[in-house]
Amino acid sequence: MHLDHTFESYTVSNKLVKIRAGKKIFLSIFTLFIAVYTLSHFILLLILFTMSSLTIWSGVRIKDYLKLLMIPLTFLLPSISVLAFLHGSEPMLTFSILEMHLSMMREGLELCTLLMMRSMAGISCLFFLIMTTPISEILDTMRKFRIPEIVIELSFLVYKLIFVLIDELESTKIAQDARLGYLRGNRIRSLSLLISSMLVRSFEKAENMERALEARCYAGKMPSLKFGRENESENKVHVFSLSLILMILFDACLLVLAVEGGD
Amino acid sequence: MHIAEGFLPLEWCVVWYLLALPIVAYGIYRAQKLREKERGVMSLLAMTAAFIFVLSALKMPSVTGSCSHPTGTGLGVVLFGPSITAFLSIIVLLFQALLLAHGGITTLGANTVSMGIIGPFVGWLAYIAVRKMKAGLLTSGFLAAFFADLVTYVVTAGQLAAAFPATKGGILLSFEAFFGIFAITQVPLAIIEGITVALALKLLQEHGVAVEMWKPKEVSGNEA
Amino acid sequence: MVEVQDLWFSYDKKRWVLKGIDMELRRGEKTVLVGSNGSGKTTLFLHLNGLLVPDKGTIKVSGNFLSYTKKALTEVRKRVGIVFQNPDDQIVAPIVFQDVALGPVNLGLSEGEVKKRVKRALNELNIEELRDRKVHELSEGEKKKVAIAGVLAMEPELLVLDEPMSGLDPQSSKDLLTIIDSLCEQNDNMAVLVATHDVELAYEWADRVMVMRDGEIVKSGKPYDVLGDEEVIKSSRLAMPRVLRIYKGIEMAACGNPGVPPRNIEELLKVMRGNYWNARRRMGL
Repeated sequence: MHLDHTFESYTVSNKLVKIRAGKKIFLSIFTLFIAVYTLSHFILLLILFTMSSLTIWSGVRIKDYLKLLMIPLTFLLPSISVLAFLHGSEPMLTFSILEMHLSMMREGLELCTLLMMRSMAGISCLFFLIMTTPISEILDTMRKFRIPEIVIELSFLVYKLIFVLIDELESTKIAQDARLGYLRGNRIRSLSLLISSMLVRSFEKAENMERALEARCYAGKMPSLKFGRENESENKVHVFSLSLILMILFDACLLVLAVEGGD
Repeated sequence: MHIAEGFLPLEWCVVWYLLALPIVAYGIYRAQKLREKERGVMSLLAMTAAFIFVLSALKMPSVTGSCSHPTGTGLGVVLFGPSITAFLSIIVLLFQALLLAHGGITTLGANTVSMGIIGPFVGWLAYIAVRKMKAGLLTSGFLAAFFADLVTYVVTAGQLAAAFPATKGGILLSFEAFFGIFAITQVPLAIIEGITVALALKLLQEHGVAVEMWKPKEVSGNEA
Repeated sequence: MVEVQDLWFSYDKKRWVLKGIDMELRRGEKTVLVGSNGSGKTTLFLHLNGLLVPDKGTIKVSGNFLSYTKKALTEVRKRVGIVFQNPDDQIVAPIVFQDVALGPVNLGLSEGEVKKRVKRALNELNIEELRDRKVHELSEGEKKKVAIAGVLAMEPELLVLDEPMSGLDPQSSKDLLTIIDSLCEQNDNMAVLVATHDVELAYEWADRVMVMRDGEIVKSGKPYDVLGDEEVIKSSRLAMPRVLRIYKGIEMAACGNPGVPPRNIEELLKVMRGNYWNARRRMGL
């Protein structure tokens, strides 16, 4: 299962992990919106380059980064390549497969390039956020946006349970493998059994969890991460830190470029 | 498959967000109401969402190498109804983006509409319809999950087609093309998912979990 | 501190799980409840802080009868902290300190007080270095300690531990035991109740042992008296602690005067060595 190595594991040894989550969220989301807004290849390349080099500099190996970048790309390719045949009216290449004439369009190819670059730029922003910021800090920052408490609470619970379920699944899968459950024709049946029995057990777990929560007088308040910070005031001095100024400057430049429509 | 980060142009990101948010907000409201009424429901909600996450991150062994995966929302909709499922789905999708870089933040709205709202809603309609015809939990659970899964992909194809219509042939041709890529793997996958969810529901019922928690009263009465 | 009188309970109204439990827990005392699986230990625990409501009988916490209004329950749950068997069921927040803060935050304590309590609880369990770790990356033994810290941060007067050693390797369970010991020393006002089917642990560690069988407490008293009672042990599907069995064997062989029964291997060895030299001396060697 590819789940035991999530993007979050890169935050453990990251140089930027100490920077407040709010700043990193701001940078990545604002840049993201510029990326989906602009049509300029130059801006997209600039975003891709800046965000990915920043992430790599912060402590991700280039090899790992490129490998991870390939995953969403394989997801993207089929959808993107379809567009080359649909968009535009000026054929460049025509294939005949099984008496069907498919022509690749020039405008279609242009759209493909743009989409490819836009997705890559977008993904580099997303990678930056999730490789430098632990999930719990992202969730804790969400509190500031006046999101109802139940959303934060549920998110924290879900986040924790995901890992409980993965452990559970692993152990059941091993149990089934040991009984040769994954041989040929049995596959679907044993997979369904695996998943449904896992669900039943996880619902029993949910009941135990509810009891344990009640035993600790739980009233729906998930503790904020501020309880873990030693000196709250010290952090406040740095609100206008160098990193924030740089981020704002970077996005301001991008925004100006995008609005001016420079290409 | 979710729509990847950066794939949709800004105007479409906004449109889907605007469509998704009111329904998610209503789901949050319903979840709050449900929580006041029934103790222990938070753990169940969280567990269901975590389950949907794990299920939709699973690669089914029969369709290796494809970009398809189960959605798991059929389960949520039978247990909690469509609006709460929308709420759970947006959380699941957020975690998929944050933990696995699957989907994205700009496309969160679009993905919520397909996987969290329309897909499960159609599954729910199918569920209610066959339930009315006195079908058993297995059959109706299967149909709910089958439609929730399949319709999710139909809507995704529609969203892509709307954003990128073909120059000749328009949205319809575009839709056919996009759906064509998914259909090969998605139909068998929807069947597998249907079987799995149906089995899971049956097992849950045998273990005394009140399925159909969205129903007003009557069901919760005979709970131990 | 806690008094239980004639407690009866059944989940399904057909079979009694608890059949007239009488029990008293005192401050500063380490009580161990031994019983095989399914004897009703956990069910009994769930009554101590009002998670389950008895069908018959009374529970008194700090002199007050337990009542089941929301406010009274919060009060009782502050006093009686339960650490459940599986830490994964208990720990709900993803970060260690965040979970330890859960109880205090939900009690509505001030930020300063919460921080103070978290710090102290982590300190008492000697896991300060785990503070910022993610829970899902911890080992089973570490998770157990975090779960205990989360309960301890509520500053309970009675600490209940359900099978604290299950799933731990010998070294981690030894560590955990040392930590629980030091907890008892630091908070001599606190009563500790541990459920286990590990008779060795009960014999070595407890001030008082209670044996539970099919929803009844069949015997309670000093470890030696209770766990040395062959009849009680056998009928409860337990085994006599090994140290005690060997010691009884030596006692029967009558080579030396019994004195104080040994509680662990080291003490037993001391007794045996003493016997050896006594025997040599008697034989004039």
